[in-house]
Amino acid sequence: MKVAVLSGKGGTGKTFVSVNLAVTAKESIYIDCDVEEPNGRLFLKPKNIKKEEVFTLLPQFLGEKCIGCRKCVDFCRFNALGFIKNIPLVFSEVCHSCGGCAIVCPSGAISETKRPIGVVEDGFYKSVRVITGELNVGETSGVPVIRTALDRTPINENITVIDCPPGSACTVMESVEIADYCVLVAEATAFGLHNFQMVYELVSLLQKPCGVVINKADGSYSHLESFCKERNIPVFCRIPYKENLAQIGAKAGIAVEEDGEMKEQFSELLGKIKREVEK
Amino acid sequence: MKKLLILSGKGGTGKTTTAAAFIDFSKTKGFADCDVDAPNLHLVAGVKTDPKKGVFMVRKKL
Repeated sequence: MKVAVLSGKGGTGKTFVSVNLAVTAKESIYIDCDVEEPNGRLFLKPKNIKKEEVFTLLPQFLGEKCIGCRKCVDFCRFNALGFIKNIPLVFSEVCHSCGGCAIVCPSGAISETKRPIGVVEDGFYKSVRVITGELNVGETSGVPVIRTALDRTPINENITVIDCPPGSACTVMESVEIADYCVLVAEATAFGLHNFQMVYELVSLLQKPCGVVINKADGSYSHLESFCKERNIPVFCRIPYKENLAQIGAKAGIAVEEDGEMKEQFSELLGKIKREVEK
Repeated sequence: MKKLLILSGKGGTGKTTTAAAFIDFSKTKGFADCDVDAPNLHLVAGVKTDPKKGVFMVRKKL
């Protein structure tokens, strides 16, 4: 069972919910797909880490073979190639590594080279396997790193928790694609609702079943509650806005290990998600 | 014209809140929400009129 945890807004508690779900499930896999700012490992502090570098392919021109036909330039949908003053050019930041240019080149002037863009770490915290994707600073797309991280999940009955990046763009879609179920973490604020609507639209578009965890719930925010009610989105739980939870979080502690109420709330949450997935 | 950039690595740290406060204090003539994945600045920056919307186009090859 693969569960993706997402929220449009940053700082809503995706990592908090993901880490605590994975620890509650015990025999589980936690994958941090928030490759621009992976924080799950700060809480889980995995040991016995193995690292794998992630590469992307980039076209390389063998200048003397290029006949200047521009077929590659015309082919590239992302405008990553140019032919200026009789010199073929690659704009590496916009290249999507599809390899099409090398295929359409009639003179065999294009080969592909590897370029490192990030790292995937794989380790353990107790019986939780902790996989972390990390994108190098300045890179445009985390998608290849996310793909590499997700490829490491074995097919088994254990629960896999996918901690998604914020927003609702390509990297989020990549992270959600293999999920059986989506947990949307929402903040009970106007900001929270606005971004929640964006991710809700995304998971609906991808036809993924979903449920909601309201985090930092300080009283009820009726707009969010009625949004969920009108669309029949199950609200699994409301995690209170409490000082001791903030303190545990600030020192990178794991709430379900330090707070009895949280332990109970998360095991209930896990049960509810499992029942929804089995539906 | 001076341009002030507000950024943070982590989400939810208060970029928008800080920006909204600076917008209010400085009585600035213009500001931009570049968090295009999850824009929220309009919710707090006192945008009262309906914005003019234009579709952002990129060149698509056929």
